[in-house]
Amino acid sequence: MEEEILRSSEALLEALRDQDRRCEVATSLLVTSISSHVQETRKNRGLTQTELAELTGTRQPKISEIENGESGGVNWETSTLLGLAHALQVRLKISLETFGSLSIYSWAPPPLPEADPSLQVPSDSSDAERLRAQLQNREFREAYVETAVYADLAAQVQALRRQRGLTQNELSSRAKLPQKTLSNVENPIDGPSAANWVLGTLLKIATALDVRLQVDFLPYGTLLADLMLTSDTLRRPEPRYDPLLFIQPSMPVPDAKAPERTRWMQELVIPWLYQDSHLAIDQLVRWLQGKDLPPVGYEEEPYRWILRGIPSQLQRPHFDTRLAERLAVILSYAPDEAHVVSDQDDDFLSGLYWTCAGVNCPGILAEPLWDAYKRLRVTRPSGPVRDALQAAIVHNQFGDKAFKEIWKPMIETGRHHLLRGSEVLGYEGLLAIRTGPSRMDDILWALAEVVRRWDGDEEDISTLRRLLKRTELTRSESPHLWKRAQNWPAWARHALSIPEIVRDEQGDQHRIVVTVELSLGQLQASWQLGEPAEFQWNERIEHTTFAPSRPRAFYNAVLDKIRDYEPMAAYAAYAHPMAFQAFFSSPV
Amino acid sequence: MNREIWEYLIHGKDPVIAKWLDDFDISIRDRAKLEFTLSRLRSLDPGISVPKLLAPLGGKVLKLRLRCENRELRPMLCRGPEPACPPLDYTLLQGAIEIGGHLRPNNAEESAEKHREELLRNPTWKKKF
Repeated sequence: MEEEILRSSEALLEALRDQDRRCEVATSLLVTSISSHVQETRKNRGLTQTELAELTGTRQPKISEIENGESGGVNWETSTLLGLAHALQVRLKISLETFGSLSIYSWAPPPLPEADPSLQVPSDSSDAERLRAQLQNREFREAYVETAVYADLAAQVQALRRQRGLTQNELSSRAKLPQKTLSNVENPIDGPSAANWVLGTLLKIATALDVRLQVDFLPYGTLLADLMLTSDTLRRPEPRYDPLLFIQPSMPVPDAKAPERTRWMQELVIPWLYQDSHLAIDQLVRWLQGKDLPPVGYEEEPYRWILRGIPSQLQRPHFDTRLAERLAVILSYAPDEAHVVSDQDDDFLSGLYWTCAGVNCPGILAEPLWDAYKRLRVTRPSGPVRDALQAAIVHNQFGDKAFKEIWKPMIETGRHHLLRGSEVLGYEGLLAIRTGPSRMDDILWALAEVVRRWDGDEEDISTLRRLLKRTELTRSESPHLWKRAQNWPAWARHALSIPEIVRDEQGDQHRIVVTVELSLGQLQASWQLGEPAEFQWNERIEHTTFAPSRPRAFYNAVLDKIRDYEPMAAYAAYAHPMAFQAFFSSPV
Repeated sequence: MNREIWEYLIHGKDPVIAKWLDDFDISIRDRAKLEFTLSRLRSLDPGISVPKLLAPLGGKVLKLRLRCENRELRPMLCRGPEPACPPLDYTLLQGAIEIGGHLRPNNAEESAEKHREELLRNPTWKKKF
């Protein structure tokens, strides 16, 4: 297969377009290229395998193994490759590249540093010239590369993980690697116990990020070009957005049905997010400052217009991710701690957080927002900024941290030592947790806490109803709530129309009672097992006549409650619709 | 969001880091590591440059954490600091090494803070690193 692919660039492209084949093909070509590049460079330097082994501090069979591509390469260690590169006087570079770039990849044996034009000709840039002068020293350049090879790979894994919207946990799970291993790759240990990876580990990370691993032996002069390394130059598109592999979808057009000012904003935001090769963070900073916006007026904050600029629902998740990545870059500069632009004010910071609240990308935003939260003790921003940060965390939280440190104290005490919270905001924060195991137990605990602390006045009743409506319990979850709610205060049970089991005075007869609060009064339906339903109307406003228009809907709702709650299921048979009809047809 | 790295000039003349590298006989390997780290600090956004590279020292001064062979380099720097400086720029204020939890020179932190204050008074006492 490999020979066939190497013979034909069209066959190679076809293999790379195939999701099931591309990783295997790229790995096979990686091992072949390492083997041939080591061999060609060795011959170019006029060394035998034995001489190279001596220079590298290893044995000849190891060199032979690498040059012959034995063991498939997955067990080769980066420290071995680094040793080979030093001995051959070339720069080792390990990077993650698009699959499409394999179709245009070329390589030639690198010249010795003394013959490398980039190292011999003075540079125009002062930074490059300073480094060029230092790279003349062999010890310096080898030490520089030793740091660069791991640190740049670490930065690229982080850049790609951010670009894909993945947390470290998610990526390690995709790569089938312990999270600790990924963390070590992203934070390489330097100093006495330097980092060292087997290629197999790096291949797994590359595959999980939908890119290929590239190991290059390059002239040292290429280090000068890498002085321009930025977040942009480390990013790589996923295969479906790789123009070398697939024809790219055309740029979305502004929504024709949207209001005029929204269309203006979409005309700016769509091209900005569509071209993904360059993050263009400065543009977002200017928009957040209210600059460069179309004449959208001053009655609304810039962040609202930025969010409106994201195109139609169909494209939304994809464009949200791109916006979130750009927001994460600004957050990484810690704008709450020190200004990122000279004329930064509170509006900029709250606008930044509110924009984060408008996108739901916890994989990208949860971490930097959490860092900002942790700094609140020191940064002490204004109330509106803290509110905006809280909203951003509500929509971008990951794991249990926010629940334990923010939402739980708010629910328990109605306040928070760093944010302007309340039990309702805490509950909303809890409901917004979308990752991890079911939060049903936490939700039931939170509701119990809320009703325990409230008095049960009109406002409490309506807020409790709103909270439960927001909870959107499923049919299988409702009975858990009702069971737990048997211990709630009466006002809370009535507020939620939760059926109660009432014992009679002797304690041997049970009756279920369903109370429904209506605007004019309270309707109670009760059953004793084996008996028909009884109804009672307690009017809230005197001299009113109650005549509900939808008795059947009321009947169905009551019956649903009874059926779902197992201890009451036996009563359902006696809740005959005729009983409801009879009650409703006669004025109270 | 480009940033520049500056170096404080002692009395407006001697580059503080260049002097420190010579005075403390910092090895070629350690110089290479410092050079690389500062180049990436300049070009990459903090979200993807090596995390925990910078640690606060209490005030506005930060220390760069570089693990080397048998000691740790701790050059000290700050954002800005003078108002006319772009807010993302860093200025190297003082060189230091840490051995066994102790800084050399002993007064490195105080010197860094002093140099920062001097820069606020004399904004021209710095040059591009």
